[in-house]
Amino acid sequence: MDINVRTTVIIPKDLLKAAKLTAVERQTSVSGLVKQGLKQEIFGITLKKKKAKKLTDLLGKYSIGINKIEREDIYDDYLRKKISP
Amino acid sequence: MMIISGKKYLLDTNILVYSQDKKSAKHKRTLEIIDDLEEKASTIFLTVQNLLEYSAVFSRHFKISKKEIAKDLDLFSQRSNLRVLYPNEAVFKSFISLMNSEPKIYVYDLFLVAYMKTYKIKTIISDDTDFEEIKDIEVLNPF
Repeated sequence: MDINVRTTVIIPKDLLKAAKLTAVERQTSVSGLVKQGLKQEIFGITLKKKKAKKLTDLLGKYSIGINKIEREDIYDDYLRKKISP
Repeated sequence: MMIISGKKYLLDTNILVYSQDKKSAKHKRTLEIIDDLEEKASTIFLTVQNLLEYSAVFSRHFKISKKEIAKDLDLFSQRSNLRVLYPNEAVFKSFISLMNSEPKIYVYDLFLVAYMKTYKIKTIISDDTDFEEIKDIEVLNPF
């Protein structure tokens, strides 16, 4: 079993930001991405890529039955509550 | 409805809402559109206004907890091919100009159009026909 150690690397801020986003997208961590990248670079090992989920795989969370949404309904209701004559 | 590769599209709140409601009669069609967009457009645009409206619809009208909605917002904001646009001075100036040129259009619709003009997005995917009255804006209504 591998023993993990903590280390510090210096990388550009934008690259770290992109790595964090990619890690979320691939459901892993930045450490996971670094491990995978280093293994690939040093040993030529390419881990099987997990297929990124489609956005629509993550939608459909609620069961309500909405037929029509009008922007006016959203704001006018709020304004009626907040501003009365 | 034709999604063209490389073109910029803004997704309106109503489409986002129907996509999240699996009992909506419009749910299936919105998923088809979003799939098509993901495949052909490199980036799907949303504005922070759409996300606020999404939150208001589900929390206020349908009593979904704000915690649940916050998870949805996290998901949208972390998705690499969804770009959330924020208001700035250019958007506000465009809004003022639209208030003069399009006096019949609802102000919150105009604010969305102000983002579109500022970020050079010509097409909105929406169930709202009011946008059709605005010059230089194309509406793709999937229903």
